[in-house]
Amino acid sequence: MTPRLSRRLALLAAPAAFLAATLAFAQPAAAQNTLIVAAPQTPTGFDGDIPKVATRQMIVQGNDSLVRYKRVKKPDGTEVLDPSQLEGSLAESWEERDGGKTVIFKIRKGVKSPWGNEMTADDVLWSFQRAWAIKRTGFFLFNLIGVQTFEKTGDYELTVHLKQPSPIFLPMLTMYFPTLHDKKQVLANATPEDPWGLKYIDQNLVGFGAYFVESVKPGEQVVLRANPNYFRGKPYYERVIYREVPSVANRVALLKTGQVQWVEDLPLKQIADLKKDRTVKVQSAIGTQPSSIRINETLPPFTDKRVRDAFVLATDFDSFNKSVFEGLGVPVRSIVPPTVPGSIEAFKPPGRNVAQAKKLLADAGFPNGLEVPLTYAGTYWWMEPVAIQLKNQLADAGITLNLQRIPDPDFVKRGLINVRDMALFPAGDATFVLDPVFTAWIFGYSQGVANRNFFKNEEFDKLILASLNEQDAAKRTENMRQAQLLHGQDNNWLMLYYPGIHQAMAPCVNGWIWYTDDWPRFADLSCKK
Amino acid sequence: MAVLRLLIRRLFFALPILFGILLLTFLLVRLSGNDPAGVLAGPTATGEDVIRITKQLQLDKPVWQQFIAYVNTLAHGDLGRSWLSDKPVVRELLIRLPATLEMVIGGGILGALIAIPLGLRAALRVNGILDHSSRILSLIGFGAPTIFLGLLLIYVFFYLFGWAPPPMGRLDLLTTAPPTITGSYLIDALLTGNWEAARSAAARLVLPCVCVATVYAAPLIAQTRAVAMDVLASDYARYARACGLPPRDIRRMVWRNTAVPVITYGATELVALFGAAAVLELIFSWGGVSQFGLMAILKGDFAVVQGFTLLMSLIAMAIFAVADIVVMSLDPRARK
Repeated sequence: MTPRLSRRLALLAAPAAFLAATLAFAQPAAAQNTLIVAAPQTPTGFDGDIPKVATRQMIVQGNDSLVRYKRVKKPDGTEVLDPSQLEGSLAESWEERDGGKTVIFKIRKGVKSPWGNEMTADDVLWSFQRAWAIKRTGFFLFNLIGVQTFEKTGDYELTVHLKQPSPIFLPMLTMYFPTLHDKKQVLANATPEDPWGLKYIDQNLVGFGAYFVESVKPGEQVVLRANPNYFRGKPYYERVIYREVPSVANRVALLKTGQVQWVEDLPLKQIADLKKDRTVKVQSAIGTQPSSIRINETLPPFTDKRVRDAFVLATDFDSFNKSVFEGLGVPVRSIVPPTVPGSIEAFKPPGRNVAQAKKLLADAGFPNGLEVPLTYAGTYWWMEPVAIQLKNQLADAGITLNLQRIPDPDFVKRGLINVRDMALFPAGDATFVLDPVFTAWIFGYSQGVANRNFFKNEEFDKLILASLNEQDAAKRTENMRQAQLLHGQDNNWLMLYYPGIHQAMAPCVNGWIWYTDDWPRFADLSCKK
Repeated sequence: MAVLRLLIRRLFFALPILFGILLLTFLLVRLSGNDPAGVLAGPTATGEDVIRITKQLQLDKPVWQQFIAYVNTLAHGDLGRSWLSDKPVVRELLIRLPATLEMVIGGGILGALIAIPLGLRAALRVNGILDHSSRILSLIGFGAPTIFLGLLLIYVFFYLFGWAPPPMGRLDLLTTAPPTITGSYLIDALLTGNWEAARSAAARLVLPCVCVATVYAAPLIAQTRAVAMDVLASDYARYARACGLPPRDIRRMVWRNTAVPVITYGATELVALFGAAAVLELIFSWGGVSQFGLMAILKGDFAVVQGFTLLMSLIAMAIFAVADIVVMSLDPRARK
């Protein structure tokens, strides 16, 4: 071999060896009882009271709540939540006194954290005190429902005093906040400068739930390990690898090739395709997240109801399901979703009538049509396609929508109740408590936290205030029926569709249940091949 | 000595350049109208919460005061904290930097190894097979968007053939990462003799590096070919041929005269690769610093955006300094 030839061969050998590393690749089979999840991003924090990016989907894996919605079996054997029934979780039971102003929780005995510490009233009390002190999400809940004080009344007993009896109090406690922590474990890692263990909890799940954090690699993956002492029994999946895969196409490809067993956050286009694919399984629920275009009736030209009515008449509601929601949407008919008991059909699309819309606009002083900005962001994937389609539809009635896409943070800020300066915008807020009063309150009450379009109706507000502490279920239901009708007739929402909650998984995975926060509990899942 | 003089000169000019970049980035970010207070406060926040966070972040102060405060903390080696993760920006950037370096440097070396010989050979035999091949490769590199190229390679080599590992980051899920020495999984695994991790890291580097190499090689082939053709058409090359110099010596002469502009151009392109890497990192779930910077821009995390820009500026300066040193070693005129 000449030196020249051997030099050339050597030059070729380097990239060839590099490529061989790929060609010789063989992916080691995933260890049994390991669930691999492909998610668009990994969490940057684990504190349920101070949620950051992707915190919520983690916190529910490691921190159980005091109470939860009861599960009931459907005829096909799958389980769903029954919003009308609550059962104990970390609290074994509870008792209401003083007409509901005092609630006494009996803490379940024998519940242990992954570190072997048994849960007592001290843990719950400390967690409540922490939420109160740091003034974040848990504190918001306390204020919302009027928690006055709470105290330890026994080793396994905690008493909460409310300002007024509240039918919403217990349903709200089904959520992950105020997050319940293992006090001993947190304090062992807290410092005098950080007595509430903010730094430690920010990077660890320190609850009494099914999983704890084994390792975190920012931007890459989080590994969860099953709590060996979990009071409901050790989960089927001993380990969960929560891997960041930002590309939607790759998440789909990974699921199809069996590299992952669970995929999060897929657009409906991919869900529709996967539903036809036998190599994967897709399960769906309606959820509580309505897509809608909100109309701020305190800003011109929407102060005139005729303009709002014209917008409704010029909108082809059905078309959105096919063109944007891939035929998977469920129509929105009220501010209270159908998953919440007491939901009624408060709004019926009148059918598209462009001529009538033009007439109403002319009557309102816009004979030559009008120009309105439609502000949107990338908060939800459907916002832009909905905005574009609506622009095309309304143009037929002489309405020119100026689409203004703004950064997500600005969009969130401008929708806060102390700002509310957008006249027309899409919104996708969800209710997380399956209660009609709570839902109508946050969406429709003049100071409701999700009333981003400033719907202001005195009668509606009165109905909400009369129902917040109402103990008579029939009265509450009737009040909320009236409230939904008031809202539905006002045309301050262009009610579109519930995109739904869709979970794509490997065919062998069973046990998924939809929760009000939309996040799966990995402890529910198992694999039967 | 000449190298030292060059480095001192570079350092002297670097400070005002960095200050200019800082100021420009700061103003661009602040005047973009992106306000993170609402996001940080969360959907359940009250107006008071937003005001409190605005004050905490000093966003209520005039922009010039915010800039002075920023420069002040920067002077103490602190780039601030990410507004979204609440972690030190320096740590957030440095923890992700090796991943990007691994991909960009690896792909850059591969690209240069392909582009320079190919460009030279194409210039020596115009309209030959290698010349046509190099043009096709250039066209692919120029024409195919990085995202398309990445997805295509994944589709073919992972999804269709199953040859490539899944695009799920830098290491197999069940492979234990080597102890951190340089931050590059491949180098650290080799240094510690962790062959399983080294194999896994190398396998996962292939497709991203091929993408980077294609993007990098395309302009480099064209540049090398064009410069080499100019050299070949020059009087001194003609004179050398007329004197009967053997082809090997002529090739060497062409290379020496082509190297300087090619290296300078290659350095510029290498800096640009750090930007292109953001898309590739997203596709390959790489978790690198470019991807992190892109997400920070999209989410309005000012502190990270500023830190990221500063880091990229430093990297660019370092690359240009290295390129200058290499040029000095090749070209005696540059040492004067």
